[in-house]
Amino acid sequence: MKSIGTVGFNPAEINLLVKQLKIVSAKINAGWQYIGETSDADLVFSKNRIPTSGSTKLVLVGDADAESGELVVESPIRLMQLTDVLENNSEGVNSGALFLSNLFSSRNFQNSSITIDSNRVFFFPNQKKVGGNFPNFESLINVLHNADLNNAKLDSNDVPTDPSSLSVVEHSKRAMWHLAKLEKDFANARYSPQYKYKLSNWPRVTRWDKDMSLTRLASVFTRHALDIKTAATACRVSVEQVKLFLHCCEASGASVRTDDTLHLKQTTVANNQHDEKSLGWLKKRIRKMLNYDN
Amino acid sequence: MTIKIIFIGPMGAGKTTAIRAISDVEPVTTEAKNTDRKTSDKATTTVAMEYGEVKLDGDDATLALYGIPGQKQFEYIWPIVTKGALGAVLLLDTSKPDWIEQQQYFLEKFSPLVDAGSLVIGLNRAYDEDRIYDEMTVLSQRSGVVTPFFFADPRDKVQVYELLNTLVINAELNQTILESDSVILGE
Repeated sequence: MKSIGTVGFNPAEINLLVKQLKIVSAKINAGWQYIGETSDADLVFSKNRIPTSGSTKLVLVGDADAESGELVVESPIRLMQLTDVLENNSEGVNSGALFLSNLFSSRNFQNSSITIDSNRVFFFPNQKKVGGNFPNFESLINVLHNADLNNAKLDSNDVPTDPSSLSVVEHSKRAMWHLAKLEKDFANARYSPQYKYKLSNWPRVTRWDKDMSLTRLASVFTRHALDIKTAATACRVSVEQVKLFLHCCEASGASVRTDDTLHLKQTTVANNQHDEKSLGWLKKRIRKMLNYDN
Repeated sequence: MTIKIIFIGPMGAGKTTAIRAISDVEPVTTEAKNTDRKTSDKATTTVAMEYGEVKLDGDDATLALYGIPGQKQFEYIWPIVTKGALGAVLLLDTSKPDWIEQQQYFLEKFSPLVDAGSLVIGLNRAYDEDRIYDEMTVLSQRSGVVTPFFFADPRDKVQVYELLNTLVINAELNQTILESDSVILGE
């Protein structure tokens, strides 16, 4: 997670920046976190020119006299300017899965392919398929994972009309789910301990992954807006697993809402206290039947 | 000790089939000739309720499965059967044109279970999963309530157990929430 600091901002300006950051974070494939009034951050917005150290990038805000090469934005900061600044300083934190997800959501996206080290991967947006001539699904995903998809060139020539003619063809959302699973660094950077998250729709979890913790995470995030640490405790998984889950959900089309002021109808908790032993036996039976990983 | 799970849904959705798929004993049924062939082209239909059982490890632990008739004239028994249940599995036949209306109807009638996270939806005969998934997504986003759902063939034991798994997980999460001060429910 890259950090943003401010110098010389009043509480109202900080509040506005934090709100803008939530909107921008949802749009761009990068994770940024506001850490407070400090010049010790990856990116610092300041009303005045201040000394910075190391790799800190200074962005002057307002009427400061900019020197050649310095970044300057208006005051109050405009959303588009903030988006530009963050996008231009987000090298190293990209997600191929989110990139593909955005492509497939685009109305203009046509059947096309990209070539990665002489391997061609084909996209069929109308049929929601991804495919290619690979030994298996895993090798297709690995090729996508190792490519710089954000800078890849799409080619609409010589795309087969029938995806089933390819040796590997998969539902695009399944491909994005499994591609996102490999993007642990991105997931760790993108999801912040400061915010609460909630899923607005049920993800197709067990279709693509046999892991009981996924159903737990889906259940808890569809019912509550939770911060990552609380979700990890409730579901008995690590913080990293929670972040990766949210990333996979987002990449495969489940809507992840970010808001620290999410208002929910007060959730009713069932008053039925079920016998723990019997519940345990039922769980054991279910796990045996489903042959789950955990 | 008995854990109770109820199977609900419109006529012909697969409740009886789902119970049969997992019951360790021959289910006790109350079938009669189906005189409403317009609603469902089945020869017979459940007219009271049916009962199946799964023996759990430990001699005195049982999972009791109740299938309740889906016709509206039996609404009066639903609260009676639901009492003390771990949760409900709502089965829907998505090949029927009114499956969404049926879903809304049952979610409203069983709203306490929905609110408590004690209801899971099994979508049967989902020939176009993408379209149905998108429709379910729109319904969730419109209502603001997300009910877990799975594409499930009630004849398949494993898929029925997947539905039960979600009920168990939610029961455990409810227990965690009751016991823990650190989990925040809404605002």
